[in-house]
Amino acid sequence: MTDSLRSLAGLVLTFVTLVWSQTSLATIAVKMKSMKDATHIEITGLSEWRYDLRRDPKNDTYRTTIQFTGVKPEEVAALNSLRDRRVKYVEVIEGINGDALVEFRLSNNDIGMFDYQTESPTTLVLDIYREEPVKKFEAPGPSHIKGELATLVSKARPKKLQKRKLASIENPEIGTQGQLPLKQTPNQNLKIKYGIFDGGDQDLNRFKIEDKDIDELAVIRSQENIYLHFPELNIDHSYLKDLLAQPAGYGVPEREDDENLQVRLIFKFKNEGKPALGLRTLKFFRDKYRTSQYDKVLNFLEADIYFDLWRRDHERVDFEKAMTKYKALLNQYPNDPSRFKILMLLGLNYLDVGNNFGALSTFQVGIKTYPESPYYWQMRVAVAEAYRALGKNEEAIKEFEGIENDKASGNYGIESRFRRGDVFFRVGDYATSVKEYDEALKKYPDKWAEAANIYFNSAEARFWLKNYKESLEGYRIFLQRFPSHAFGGYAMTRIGEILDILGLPVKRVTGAYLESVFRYRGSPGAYLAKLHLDLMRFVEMKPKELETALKDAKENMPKDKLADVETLLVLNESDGFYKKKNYEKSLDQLIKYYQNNPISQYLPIFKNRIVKNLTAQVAAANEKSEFIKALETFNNQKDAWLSKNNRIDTRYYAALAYENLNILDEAATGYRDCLRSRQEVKDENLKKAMATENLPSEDEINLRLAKVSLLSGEVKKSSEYLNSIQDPNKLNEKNQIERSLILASIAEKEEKLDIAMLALNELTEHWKGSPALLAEHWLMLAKLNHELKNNEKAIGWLSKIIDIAVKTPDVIKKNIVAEALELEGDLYEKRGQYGFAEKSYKLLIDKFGDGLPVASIKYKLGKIYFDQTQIKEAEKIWKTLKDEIDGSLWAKMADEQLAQVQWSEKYKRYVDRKPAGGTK
Amino acid sequence: MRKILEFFGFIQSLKSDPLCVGPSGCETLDSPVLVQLMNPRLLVKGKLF
Repeated sequence: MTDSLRSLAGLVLTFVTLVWSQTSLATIAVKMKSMKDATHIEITGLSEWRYDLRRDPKNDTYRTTIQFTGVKPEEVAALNSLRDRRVKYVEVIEGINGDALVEFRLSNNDIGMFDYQTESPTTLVLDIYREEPVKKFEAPGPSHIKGELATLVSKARPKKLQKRKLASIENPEIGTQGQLPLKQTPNQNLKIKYGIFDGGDQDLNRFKIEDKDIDELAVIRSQENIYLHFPELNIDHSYLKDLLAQPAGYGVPEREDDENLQVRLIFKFKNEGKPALGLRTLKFFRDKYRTSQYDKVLNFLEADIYFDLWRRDHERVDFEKAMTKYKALLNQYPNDPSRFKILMLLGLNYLDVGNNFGALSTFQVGIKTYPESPYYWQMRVAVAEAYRALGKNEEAIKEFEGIENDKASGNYGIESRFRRGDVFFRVGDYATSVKEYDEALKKYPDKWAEAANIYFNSAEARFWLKNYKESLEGYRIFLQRFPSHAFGGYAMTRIGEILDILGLPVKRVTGAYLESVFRYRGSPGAYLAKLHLDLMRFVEMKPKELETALKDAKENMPKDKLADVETLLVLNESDGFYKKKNYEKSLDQLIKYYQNNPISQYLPIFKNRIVKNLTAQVAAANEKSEFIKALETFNNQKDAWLSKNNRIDTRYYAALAYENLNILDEAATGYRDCLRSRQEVKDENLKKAMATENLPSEDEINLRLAKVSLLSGEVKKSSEYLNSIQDPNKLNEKNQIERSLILASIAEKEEKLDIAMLALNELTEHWKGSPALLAEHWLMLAKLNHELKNNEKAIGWLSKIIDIAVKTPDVIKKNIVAEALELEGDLYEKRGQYGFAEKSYKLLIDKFGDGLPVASIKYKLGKIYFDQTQIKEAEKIWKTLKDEIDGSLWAKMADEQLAQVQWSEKYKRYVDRKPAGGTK
Repeated sequence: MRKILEFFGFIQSLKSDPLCVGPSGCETLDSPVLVQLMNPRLLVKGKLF
């Protein structure tokens, strides 16, 4: 067994140390695995999991509880057996409504729990893991995997894939036929899993979508969002790493003399990582031994020590000295066997520090001077890479083609083919890059394991070409084939973004983001996913949580890995406050960015957001019946942010405010303007408007124009607008009622009461919506019936309104109820049913009169009492008339009535006096 | 012998004046190496390392 296989076997053994599995009493199944990095729990058996997960730090233990809904304790009793180094114990008890309450006692405060649900099959997944402290990102840049993440990735990657051995002096596999710098995985069909879990869906089918799932308007809407360009994934050829791993190739034999001793001391210092001591000793040595038998070896040693210093301290001066010394060695010892390696060191280091010209000229000399070099093909590939880095794409492609076409290049030819797409990708020629990548994979399908760049970059290219479905599939395959790749976080987050762009359900979108956050913690992709998740939860976050989220987002921003992430953060925060309906704060952030970044490529997006925000402000003011405020906002910005505004809804809301303020001519002008724009907007522009606006339909605008015309007394015009409504059934409930009312009003004004009744009855009979919405309708029907002397029917309609209002007082507008009660009282009064009339008036005064002018009602009620000689009652109610806003006239009338009574009372004894003597 | 003594002096200078270059801190002689280097008898015999 090779070392790598042994390591892999060890890894597997450590990962899966314990497995429990138990089937529950019902259909619910609990599976638990204790792995190296996490405790993994999967619960299946329900189509949806409803639960409330809470974490409470208590004493010194970390307590996490899950209160299930619809799951009995015995169904998840298997959890009681869970114990490992992360979980002290689990207790399943009866909680709310007898459902299972599961309490996890975690071993310490560093242990966290992550929960999510997968689809097909629906599985509740709980992962318990040690939380890493938040660290600054060390994820790979465009070219190389570096730092901590590289270590993690390297640990997670199968040993066989970790290091690609290339031809070298010690490893001269290349020969002239160049076999195998590109290693294959042991099993090409192997679906490697090195992540924590796979949620029971190894092929990541949960990210597959069908055409029918795509919402075209959501795609259009997404064009108003900012998506960040991810770094390019380059094949890490490891030429330099392999070169540096080779032994020095020189040394000194051990002898017992002072000169030899001192040279060996210099070697010792170098090998022990003390280059400065080595150099000082070397200086001391050269002062003492002007010429030495060890001069040549010391020259090599000196160059290497400077190189060590550069690698340790990153001082450019050491780099330059090392390179100068290497060049001097090539000149001084042109036939030394190390010449090939030294030239590679020079060129690859220039490439590494971005000195592409230096690299290019070094390798060009190398190719010409040392065609027999074992590094010949590496030099050729490096030349192409240098051309690419210098933006000389034609030359780069030509070089790659040259390498691939030469049969002696072997796998370097394949590598060249795989890199060709990168040339176009880097300059943003995504269509050509996709073509190149597809052709390369088609030509060498069995080498897919070496082509992570193709899978990732082509998915990314397709994303920017807006081929979202293909891009999604590309990322899915990338994650399936390279699950532990450092770019996994990017891929998983992009999957979430694409699902969102395509309008898939929020649950699926958040699922992808959560996986990114959990599986690729600490990576820039996970950071981005967290930003998206925070935005989705912005509204429900409590102030403290929100503050922490915003602070974390700012502090951990991977500016060097994600271009424009700062801009995205501003936009996200602004969007969050917009969702919270804190429009002022949202607007403030947008305007600040707009003004401070005059050359930003994102200005159009910010401008559109500002207009959207102002539109929402006008609409929100309307909603709150603050129509003057709505118009203030609109008119203040009309010549500023709202100038050249193509949005129809902004103008519509302004017209609505005018209508509600009864400024009918302005309202009509506004609506006509909206109608004209609405009729003109077509095709793609119409789709865009539908996706990004609360776009009123032509029918809705016609309805408003009909209403405004009616209120202006233009009955004929109103009728025309009403007739222009194409499909009344598509109007919402409120508008359907309004249409019917307008129709009835027009008929009424034209004295066609039967038609008016017909219009109202038609809607009433076919109405399927909430009955309360018809209140105004019923009131009008009552009025019409009253006019037609059908008082019985009129009272019937009024009762419907009053019954609902009494049972649910806030459902129907108070003024409608008041009007109904007054009319009902009047009708009863006329019929001599004073008791009923009294009841109606009293109800109106006591329950629905607040804030309404009720002096006339009070007078009428008092009059009923008065007429029934209940003078004291009448006096009592009339006394309150003077407190009413419009009560003085009614109070005067009441006083006159009472004065009459008092006069009658006073003289009654004289008028009715019995003759003197009486009956006695 | 003169060269050996000069070397002995050089080693002593390294001991008293450690090299502090670059951001990585100072390079010092490890004790076992120092013990050996400070032993002139071993030096003379060249029996180090």
